Amino acid sequence: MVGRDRARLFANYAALPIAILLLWQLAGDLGLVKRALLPGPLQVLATLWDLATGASGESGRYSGTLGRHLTASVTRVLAGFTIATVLGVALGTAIGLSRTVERAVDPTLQVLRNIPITAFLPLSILFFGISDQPAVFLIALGALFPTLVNTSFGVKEVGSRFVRAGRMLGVSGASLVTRIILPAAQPAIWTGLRLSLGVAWVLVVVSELIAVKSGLGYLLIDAYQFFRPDVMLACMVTIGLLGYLSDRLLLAVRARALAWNRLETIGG
Amino acid sequence: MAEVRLDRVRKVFGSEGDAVVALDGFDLALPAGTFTTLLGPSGCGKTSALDLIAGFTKPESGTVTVDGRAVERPGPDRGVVFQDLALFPWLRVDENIAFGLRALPAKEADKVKARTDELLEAVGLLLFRRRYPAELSGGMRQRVAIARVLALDPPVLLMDEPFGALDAQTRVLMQEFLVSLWERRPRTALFITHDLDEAVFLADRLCVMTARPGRIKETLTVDLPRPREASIMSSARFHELRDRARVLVREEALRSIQPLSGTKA
Repeated sequence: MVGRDRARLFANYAALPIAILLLWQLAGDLGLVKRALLPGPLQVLATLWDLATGASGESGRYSGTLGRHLTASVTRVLAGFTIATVLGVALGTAIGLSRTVERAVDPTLQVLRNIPITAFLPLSILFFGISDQPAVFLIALGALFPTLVNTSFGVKEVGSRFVRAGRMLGVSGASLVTRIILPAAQPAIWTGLRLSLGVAWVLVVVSELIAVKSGLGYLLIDAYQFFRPDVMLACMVTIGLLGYLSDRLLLAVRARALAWNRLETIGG
Repeated sequence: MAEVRLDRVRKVFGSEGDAVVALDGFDLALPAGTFTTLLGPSGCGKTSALDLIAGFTKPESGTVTVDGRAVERPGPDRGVVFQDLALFPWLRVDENIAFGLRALPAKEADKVKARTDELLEAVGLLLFRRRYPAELSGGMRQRVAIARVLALDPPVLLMDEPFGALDAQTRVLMQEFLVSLWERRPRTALFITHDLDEAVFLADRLCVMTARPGRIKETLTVDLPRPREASIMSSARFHELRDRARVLVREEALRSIQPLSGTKA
């Protein structure tokens, strides 16, 4: 790549983030918002550094605690997302393949899907107590639906010619699902997984605000109670970056798995 | 070697009211180890007959048998090369070819690999083994589809207009390729086509079907010598057979445009 192309690519990516950071900094400098309520990006960065390393004591009682909270949140997201993936793909496949299964479970699922997931929070705390379980339960439940709906859609869309070809080549029963139907339905399944992962990040924070005493959501609400907007913002930035990184990671895996599909579609 | 028979077969599509009788009183025998081509006007039931042998559908009445055993379901003893190929787009060329081999019980990996290499070489795609079907030309995809089926060494080979989408030059090359593959290892074959040259060139027996509901109107014995090369298409006997087939097909094509009363269900 030529230097100029690289500069252009960088500008393409960086223009909007830089503009937002500048606006954020200026809003305080020009007195449009109170610094006490909205610390500037440099302050937040300093706080974030101390949260992560404990080097300066800038973030007071929170100094050096980021790693612990981050690990707690990531673990919950992974646990909930994994459960949602397994259940979502399995159930979605069953619904996609069988009208009987669809009729049996679809109305129930649609009603459940329309109850905001957060509405399950109080009940799940009553049930599980203040612990990891209500958080993981909530994430798994919320992340289940995108994967499930997309999988059942993808399975229904699988060309009957592939199934015919598979049967002709001696494949039947469960192998037909694993060797033909799931690979063919992959594009839709990956769409579901991506949406589910996004939901998982939202729900981990929501549940940590109330149901657990650790994690980035807990750090956020605790910093609110002790009036540390810099810590709150550092926390939000961390959540945003983590969500972004995990999405990029998922896209990279998806790109490998769907290399064949990129050849056949305009979007890649 | 396997003999395929369809006896007094009736096949209806759709439900009462708008039902279409695709085949009625249909008889067809494919003698073991012979190559039969099937010609006929569009919609006469050629593909319906092939699907019955493949086991994708069942007849309303009559029997479909391979070596006397009734066909119940699709299986690797009857390889099908589809009109739209139906290669698995998510698998690479070698994985497509090995697909059926991996379904067999107790097939060791190195045997699968050896057999796959053998086929890749036979169809001239060794250099393209790690490509996806979408990266291949039409003729290459045809060869993958044929290799995928031959991997299982099926006694019966069914082909539904496999070369229909190819350009004229590639088409002739693929016909020669298929003839040489088949002559090296003859098996019971049924090949559907609309192309008269192709139908004569490949066949031991050439069957012409009537307009719907399809029956075999006439069977020509193609007594051209084997091994065959494309040059045979300029022989007098070839022309004679092709012209005979042309007349038969034309009669039925006309009938299918102006259907006689009594052909509906």
